[in-house]
Amino acid sequence: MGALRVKNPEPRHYRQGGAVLTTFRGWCKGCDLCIASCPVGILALAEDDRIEVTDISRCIFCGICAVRCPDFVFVLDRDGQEAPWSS
Amino acid sequence: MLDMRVRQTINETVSAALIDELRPPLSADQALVEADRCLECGGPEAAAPCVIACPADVDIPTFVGALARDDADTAAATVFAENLLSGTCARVCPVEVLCEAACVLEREGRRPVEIGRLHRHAADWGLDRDRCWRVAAPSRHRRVVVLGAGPTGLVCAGELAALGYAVTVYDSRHEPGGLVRYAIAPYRQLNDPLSAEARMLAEFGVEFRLGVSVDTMQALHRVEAEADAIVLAVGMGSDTEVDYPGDELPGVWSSLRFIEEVKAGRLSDAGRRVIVIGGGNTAVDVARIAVRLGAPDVTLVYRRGESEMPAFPHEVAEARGEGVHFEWLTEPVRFLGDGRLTALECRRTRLRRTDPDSRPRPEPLEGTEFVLPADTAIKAIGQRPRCELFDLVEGLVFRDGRLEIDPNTGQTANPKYFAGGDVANGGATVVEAVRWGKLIARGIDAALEA
Repeated sequence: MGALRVKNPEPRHYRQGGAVLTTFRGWCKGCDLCIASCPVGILALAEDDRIEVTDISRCIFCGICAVRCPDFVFVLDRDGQEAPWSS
Repeated sequence: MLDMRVRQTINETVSAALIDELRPPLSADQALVEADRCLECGGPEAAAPCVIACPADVDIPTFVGALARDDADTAAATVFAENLLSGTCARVCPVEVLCEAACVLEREGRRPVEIGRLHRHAADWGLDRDRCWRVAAPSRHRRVVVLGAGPTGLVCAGELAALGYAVTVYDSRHEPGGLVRYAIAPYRQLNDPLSAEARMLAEFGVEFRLGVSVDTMQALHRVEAEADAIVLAVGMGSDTEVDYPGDELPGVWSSLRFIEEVKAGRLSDAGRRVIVIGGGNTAVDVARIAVRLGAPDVTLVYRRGESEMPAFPHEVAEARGEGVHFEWLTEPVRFLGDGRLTALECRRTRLRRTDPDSRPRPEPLEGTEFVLPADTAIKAIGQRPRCELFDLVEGLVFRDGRLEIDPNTGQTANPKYFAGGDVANGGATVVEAVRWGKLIARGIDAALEA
């Protein structure tokens, strides 16, 4: 049996002040679910049909993309706290 | 005797229905569960949509997040930091078109977080503690006089006191609150929590001179002599008077007097058939009060169509759900009655747009007159700004009949005078008055510091 291969996650980091939205776009399959649910409309598919953040300055860090994505593409870090925010 | 007892029971039922709040308080457990639904949106540079929608700039995700962590202290401090009338606004704000309409959960197909009721939970918790949630800065040795103890005046006074100014508020009424106290429907707010809010302002230094009219040249000169800046927060006065024949008949009311009498408990019966004239939020409120007084037949008469109504559509829908009938494109001709109102003669109108930029104007359709029987008719056509005082102030400038005010500072053409609130916008929401109060306070601070 060969070794289990994990697809390269190709992480990209988008920063707004001290908050960071990271996308593991290597795992994106271009399903559009996050694009439809982003309340500020800052997600789009790039030419390679994978997700990209078009304007991080407008991100409100609601974490809906992270909840919606079936492929764990999004991780939000706001002041060292991962989304969805825990109390 | 039996009759008396039956009447008393009916009266108790009626008053209970009258004060049954549209937005009742949450229990501690309910607040915890509801607050936990909030996603606490907001990045370091991009504010949450609910905050952008709030005219008072309340940091909603922070106070809701605090409630979700059972930290009511932080929640109360957060709401009063931006809105000194948090208890009032939490009850009367049209959240359906402001913060709750902006909630991202709504886009998700879920109901928005009940921000209004959570705001009330935080504010009431704070007011019940009888603690002062703001502190006054060291004295600036400057004095500001605020004329009018309505929401704009109260908030402006509080914010100035917090900045270290000595502030005195004058109002001809004996209680603070202005139209909030006297003209807001009882099912939204009775007189609480206004008194507690005013008490908090007094605690951090605002001086109240209530029952004192400043309506003569001498009185104004005395006030001018004691102040570095004066705020004209005089708001709206009585109802706009539109005269119809038969106006003087008992049973014909103006909206503000009607609401005031009901709130004071002096009027508990409006008869079976009630007609309300007007298409604004006050007209809808009055119609819904009439329903709560037990009138089975309440009709709202408006000279334009439903889509031209200035009232909030959701409140029109709620009124319809409570059984209010609407006669659109209908205008009053005269009140009928012999010693007492018995009916309103109306006629149909049609809308004609004479200027593409203005609202279509209603034109009467002659020969369409008809009669609506009525025991009570209430005119709710709008209120007039109190302009009487403006004639006494030197150097004010008016444009199209409106006082000219810098929209960013509230300063008038006479640099010592500032104004805002209903005076500026012709009558809007309480939270819009709060926004003005804060804006004027910042404007005065900038002007006196310059």
